[in-house]
Amino acid sequence: MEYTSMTLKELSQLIHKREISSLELTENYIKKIKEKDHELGAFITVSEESAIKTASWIDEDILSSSSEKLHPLVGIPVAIKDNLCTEGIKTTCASRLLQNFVPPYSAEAVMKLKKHGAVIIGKTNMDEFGMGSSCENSAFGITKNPLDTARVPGGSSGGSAAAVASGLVPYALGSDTGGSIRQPASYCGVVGMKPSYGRVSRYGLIAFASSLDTVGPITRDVISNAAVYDAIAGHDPKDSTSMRGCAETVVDKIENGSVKGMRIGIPFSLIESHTDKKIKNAVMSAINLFSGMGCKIIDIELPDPALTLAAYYAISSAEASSNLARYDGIRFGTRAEDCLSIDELYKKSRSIGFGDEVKRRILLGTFLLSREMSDRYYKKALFTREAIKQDFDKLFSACDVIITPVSPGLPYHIGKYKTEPSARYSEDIFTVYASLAGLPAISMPVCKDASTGLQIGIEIIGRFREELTVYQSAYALENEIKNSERRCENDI
Amino acid sequence: MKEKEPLKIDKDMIEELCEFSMLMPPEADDELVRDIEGLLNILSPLDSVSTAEAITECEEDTVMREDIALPYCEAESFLSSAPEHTDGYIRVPRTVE
Amino acid sequence: MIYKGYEAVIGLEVHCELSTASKIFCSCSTAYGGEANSHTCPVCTGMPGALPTLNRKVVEYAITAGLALNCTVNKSSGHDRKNYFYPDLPKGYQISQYDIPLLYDGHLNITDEDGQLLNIGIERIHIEEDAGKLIHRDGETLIDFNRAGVPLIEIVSRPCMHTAEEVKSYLRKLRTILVSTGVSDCKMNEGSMRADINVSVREVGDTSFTTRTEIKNLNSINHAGRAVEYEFKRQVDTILAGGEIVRETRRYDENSGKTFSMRSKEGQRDYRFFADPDLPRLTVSDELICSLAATLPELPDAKIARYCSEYSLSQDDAELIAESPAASEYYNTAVTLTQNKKTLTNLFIGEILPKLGENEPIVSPSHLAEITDLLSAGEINNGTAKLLISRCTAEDGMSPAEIVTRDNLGMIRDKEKIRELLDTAVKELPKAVSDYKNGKKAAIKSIIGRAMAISKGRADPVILNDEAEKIL
Repeated sequence: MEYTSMTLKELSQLIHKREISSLELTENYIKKIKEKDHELGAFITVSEESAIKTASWIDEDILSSSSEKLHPLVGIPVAIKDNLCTEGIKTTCASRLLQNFVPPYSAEAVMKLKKHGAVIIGKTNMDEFGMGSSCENSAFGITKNPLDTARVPGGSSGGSAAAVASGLVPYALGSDTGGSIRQPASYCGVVGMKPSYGRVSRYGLIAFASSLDTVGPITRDVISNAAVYDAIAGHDPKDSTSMRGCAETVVDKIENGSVKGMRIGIPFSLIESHTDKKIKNAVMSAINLFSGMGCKIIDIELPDPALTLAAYYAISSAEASSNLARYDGIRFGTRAEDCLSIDELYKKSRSIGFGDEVKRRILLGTFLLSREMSDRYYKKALFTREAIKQDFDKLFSACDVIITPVSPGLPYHIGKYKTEPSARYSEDIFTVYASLAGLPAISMPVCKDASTGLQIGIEIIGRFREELTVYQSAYALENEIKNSERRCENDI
Repeated sequence: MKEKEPLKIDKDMIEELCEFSMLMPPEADDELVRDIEGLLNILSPLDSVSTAEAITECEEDTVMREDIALPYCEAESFLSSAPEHTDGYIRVPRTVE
Repeated sequence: MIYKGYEAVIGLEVHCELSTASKIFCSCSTAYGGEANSHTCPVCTGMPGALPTLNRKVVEYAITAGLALNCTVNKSSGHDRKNYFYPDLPKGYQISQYDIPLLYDGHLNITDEDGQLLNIGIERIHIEEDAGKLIHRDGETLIDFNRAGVPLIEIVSRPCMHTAEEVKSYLRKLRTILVSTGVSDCKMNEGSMRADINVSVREVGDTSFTTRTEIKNLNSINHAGRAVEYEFKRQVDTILAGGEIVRETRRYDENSGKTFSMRSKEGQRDYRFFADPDLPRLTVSDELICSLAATLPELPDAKIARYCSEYSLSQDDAELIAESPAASEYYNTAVTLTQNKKTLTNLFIGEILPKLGENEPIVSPSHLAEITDLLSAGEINNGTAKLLISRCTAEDGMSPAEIVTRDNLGMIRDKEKIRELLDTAVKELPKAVSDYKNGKKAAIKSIIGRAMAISKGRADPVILNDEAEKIL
């Protein structure tokens, strides 16, 4: 049987029925990774030995619990983005500075998966320290888009998205600061969820921008995504920004949800001015499907995109410059050799260890926090963020969800922004809204571009803490797409 | 400096920022100056924001941890990640106070 | 402290380690000593992905300290990152409070050299984490992170002190108050209390503030006083010689008694303060503040006032006892057990106070009260009282009265017996007798002393004196 094209939910049913063992499944995926990953570059580390060991233990446990209902994730391999600490498995953040770092602890989200019997099969490639949206800023090679290997898979969770899209793993964990789960999910044609800020513990997630970072699942379909979300969501006392109280489980409520009468906000003028035709058509086709399901479509104005982008880059760079100060080669990580003074040790280790994009953001962040500058940009960015949150509060009094494109255009070619890195930042325009406002947002494929074979995705944003509504809308759309006879017409 | 003027970065500023960030000054200064100016361009819309009143959110009570000492791990586990250590201490070149 | 027409303007920033069991942002032990790097975890060593969690007791202790220092509590304050690179700072930033501290606008009272009450203002008190420890050896530096993350309060005084004595009084009083609340043991020699001193000078009569220097990390009250005196004179001499005072950090060298410049760069470091996004705002409720205020012990000033009014102690004696919680606790118990409070106080200050805190065994308050009563009743003399104190300490269970009986320590008052003692002394010291008869009046003392010794210290000194004069 070809397991590697199945969804997590389908595999879970096979495991539950004892039709396949965890070991068999794990070996299947490892084989496929060995066959295919050299073309894609999705993985930095494949933890074959420990995965096989874990799978064997899990099989023993399954055998001894013959009649018990198994958790949906038991025995199923997962790939973890390489900025989430995994005990005993190298965690590099795609940086030379952490190229040999083996954490003695796991991230909380990883611990929760392990507790539910997940098999960690490897660590995926990413943009270094989460900075980037193409997976080209890694110290360990570029990941390619499985749908067209001349194009980027998106980033920074490019490796996770590419691994899931190409069937190298049924699901993966990623992280999202300004779009880093949603955009690669969209570029690779899979489903990626950024939960509300604080919904999933950040403990063990190597910090990029603390007030924006989130952890979320990447899967082939919506229901599987919800199952993983249920497993990782919830309060963690080790994370002081973690949302209080238990997270409501969503997976058993999605299929019965109805979207009839749901009010959907669409920023028509922003879409008109900021996306190319193919993306527009894809969004329109989704809107039509929702209309057909009895949803009410409402034209809305989102806050000024240039200002939103500015606030995002100011806040994220400032926080990053401080979060990355601990990477100095003193207590862990790669230390530069033959340093005669402590200053030299700091400067050499960090300069050799960090890539160019990371250095740019650190310098920018340092600049923004400096005494002379902090009023001009950083404080205004904080103010802007509060204003954006209030704007969304108002929008959500008239809408139940908001739908936007994920990116202005199709996945671009590898190397496009090499000579002008800062031109790339405006690609983030649609995803930074939900990041700044801390809102849950899912990215899912809507249709295929006939001429390129690439997928086009849309983003569904919900109210703070309303992941269920987001999942219900996404599930409804996914079903409707499957059932519908209509196709996107995307002529060249 | 007038608020509305775009910010100009020069090599001296880059070197000073590198010093604060513990990075070595780059060989290709011009490229970095251009890149940082590009980034600052993206931030320029913030110039038009006026922050007359700070907006404060309503807050939940702070969650605090009980004062109980729990051993985490042996010193060896911490030192095993360290590039250089001796006699139980992390070692670095002689630091001037 | 005036020198060549100039006065000093002094402000202090005192860091105190709080006596919590665990660190401020993680559950590692704060216990002093211990093998290097054995009280560490990913949080306090700044490992990737680690996050801080605030220790409730730190907030409670800080508020307690602030209330004892008459501060107002900020019910909503923040945590800010202070960013700089130094090997003892694992995250590359310290979590402190910059914008809005937990407490502000306090004060404490000291008495100056003339006995005048001086009110020293406290601008703010905030909570923050300590850094690790560096040990410098030949060509290398070793780092121990056990201290990294230990909770501190930083107490910033207003710049309203002018003399070295005021600085020392302030530090002593601050220590007494904080120790009495139990939030810190304030042992400067162990590093649980450190002072940074800001000094500037101005002509007497001038009210403006001039450039100041900061003397860092003073770990003894006496050194603090000497450092201030030296720096004051140094600044005045510099100005009078036409030089300029530079805003800089200095360290005090105890061997030479001088201060030396630490940093070659002028001006202030830019710490790029911003609100720590890993920690929500620190909110404290009125209920918490009230409950902490209710549990404040009797503070030193109140104690001193009460000792003076209730027990008629002198200001000096009262301050001496109030300075140490152990002393006050003992004294408070003992003084209620006897009517002879003056006598008890003298015995306490002379015999008990020096031993407290030295880990030596001491007589119980009730026994001390009994000994006081015996002394006041004339049943023993002063010397015997002291002897009795040490015997009672050594022998558990026996009361002072029982020991007096058993060891025959009762005071000898009988004039016959006293004359017998003197006769013996006179026989033993013929030279002293002849000296006295030849005019050396002081020679009587050796006869009295010998008689006392023969009596094994039990003779009534007054009667002994009288009889000695009669005999000779």
